Amino acid sequence: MKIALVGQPNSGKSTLFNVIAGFKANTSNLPGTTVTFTESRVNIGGRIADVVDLPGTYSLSTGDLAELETLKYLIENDIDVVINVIDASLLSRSLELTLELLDLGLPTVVALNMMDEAERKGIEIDVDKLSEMLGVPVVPVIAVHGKGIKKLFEAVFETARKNTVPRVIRYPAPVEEKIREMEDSISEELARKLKVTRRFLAVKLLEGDEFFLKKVKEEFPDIENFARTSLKELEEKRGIPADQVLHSERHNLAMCIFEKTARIKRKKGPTVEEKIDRVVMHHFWGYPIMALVLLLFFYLIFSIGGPLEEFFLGPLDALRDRLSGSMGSGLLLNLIDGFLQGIEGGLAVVLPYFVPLVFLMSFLEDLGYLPRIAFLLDTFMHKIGLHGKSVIPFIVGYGCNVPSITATRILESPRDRILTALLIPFIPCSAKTTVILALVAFYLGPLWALGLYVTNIFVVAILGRVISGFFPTPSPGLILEIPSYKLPSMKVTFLKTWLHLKTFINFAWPILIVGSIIMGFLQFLKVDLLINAFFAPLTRGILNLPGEVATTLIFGILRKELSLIMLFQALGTSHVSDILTTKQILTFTVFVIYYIPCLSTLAMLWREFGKKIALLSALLNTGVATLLAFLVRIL
Amino acid sequence: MLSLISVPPGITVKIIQMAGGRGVQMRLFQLGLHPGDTIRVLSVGPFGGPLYIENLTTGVRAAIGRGVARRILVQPVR
Repeated sequence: MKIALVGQPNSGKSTLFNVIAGFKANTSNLPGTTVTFTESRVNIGGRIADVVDLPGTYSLSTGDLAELETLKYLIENDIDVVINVIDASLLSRSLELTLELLDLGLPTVVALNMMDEAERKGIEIDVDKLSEMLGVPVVPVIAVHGKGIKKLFEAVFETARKNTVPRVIRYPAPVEEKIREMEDSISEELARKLKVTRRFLAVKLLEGDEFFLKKVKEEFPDIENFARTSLKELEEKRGIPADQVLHSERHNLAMCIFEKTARIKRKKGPTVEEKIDRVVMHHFWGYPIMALVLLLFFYLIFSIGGPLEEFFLGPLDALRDRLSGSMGSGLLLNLIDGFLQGIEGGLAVVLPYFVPLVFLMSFLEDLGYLPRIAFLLDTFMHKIGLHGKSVIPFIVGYGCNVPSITATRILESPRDRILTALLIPFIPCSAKTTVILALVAFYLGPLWALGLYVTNIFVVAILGRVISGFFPTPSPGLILEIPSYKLPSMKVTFLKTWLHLKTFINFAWPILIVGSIIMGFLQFLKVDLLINAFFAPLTRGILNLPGEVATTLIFGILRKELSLIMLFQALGTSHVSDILTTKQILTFTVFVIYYIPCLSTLAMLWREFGKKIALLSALLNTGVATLLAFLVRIL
Repeated sequence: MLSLISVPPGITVKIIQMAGGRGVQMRLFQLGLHPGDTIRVLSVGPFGGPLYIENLTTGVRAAIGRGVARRILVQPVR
């Protein structure tokens, strides 16, 4: 049996998915988190079902890339039951999507999620009346606490068994008449070819949906003309511009259902949330608060990471020194030393900073503060020829560049997507943050580390300005939903941290260990000297760094932390300051942050944007890195 | 009738009409902003920053760029 979770962004689909499928889908209090499909075979009360978590869509319009994908998924895969997940505190808007879904004619169950949110906002919903008006089961649920899930799936299995096709929800007479006429002119065969019901196609044509109008025009131009003429008539009759009339009608219909089924006990004074936002989103106070939050964010990471690194580094170093003492030299020593180096790298260097960073990032995401940062930074983003939602991929980029490249899918214009994708590799990901904290913060102090982040923002700004010069078309204005604050549940935050930790342990750590062993092997064969010599003009010449650094940079392409761990191995000690001066440490770190993106980012760029963009990004990054590192060296 | 841009924070207005391209209109509809809804400007970003508005009819809160806000025509509500 196939179940699809469909709903507007931030309505709790992924949360519901994780409750039933175990923690697989990433969640955050940020509209547009899920951009790809997550599917999982699930056992619910003894019954096996394939559940898919679709990206959030406000409507089933074909104008938006992500929404077209979701619509195609729904009509091309034979789905047994659609669970329409609704944020109960935004019921009226959510119903607009529900009305479109019902026209699709798939057996549907409505999951009225976040009932606690609705209550907090004083919204009381008569669930039975709503279910009666929509003609489908409506089950109140609080996904994050796992409440109402059992009842929901009882309704789901019941609906699947009866395979009940939802009945038609009628629009007001004049509009319904036009839809009826449109529907009659569409042959069953045409509808089947486009894999939609005749009513859904009729409504889409009357919405002036270009995707379907074009499809119909290919074979039945007369239907297309008929659609355009009836659209004109509707425009005169309802006095609303042609392409808005259907949407406004659906909005009014949703509002009407909302008013009949929900009551709002409007609290008198401003709610707590409004008070917080009055300060946090204030046109002046918003910025110092944002700076404070980010400062606290990094201070916490560093104050947790530093001692942990200290704690793990000591014994492991001692072990390696004792080992090299007893083993003398030889291939075996190099390999074992490489292996220990990899373990030490992961345990003592990456994890102490990685775990707090991911934990705090998840907490910040779930709180709902990130879209507020997007609001505050929009003016600044505007200056670099970008705005709109491209702030969200940047914020995701601070965690890891790979998901942020896919996150560019939420941007409407291809211009924005390419421009944002070219800038993302400049955003320091968690791996680069580890390098910054382990080197700069450790040896030069946290203020220097913060300085690096601030200059990074200016570098991204200037680059954005330069690159957007090549893409003159203005990008669309910012239209971004600001979700309500949610107190992050500790369970979910820990689960999210564990999800990232698991991927690190399963993929990244082995690479670190294998990389260190290979490094040991190269060192044994003295091959690394060849590599170092080859890159000497860059490393020694421009950057005034010791030659051994070259091989570490090569490994850094695999994973950024690798360049750090390889550095310890190349210099033969983890106390870098014995060999490198503070300026050299800074030069090395600046180069590592900006040079060629890591392999997985490049692979993602290739997959999303093609060879040319991936190559351009690699050259752009390396060029800027060399320039900036050189500047650091001479200053 | 005036443009949303000129509405100071705290004032409640009713959306009369949305000028501007189809793309922008569609996205405003998707977000739940329709002619006839009453909205309130909560705060305005500095240096030509976006408007932070709340749709009192649907309870949706959103940040709207200046360019977009300029094309939303509103009328004050007593």
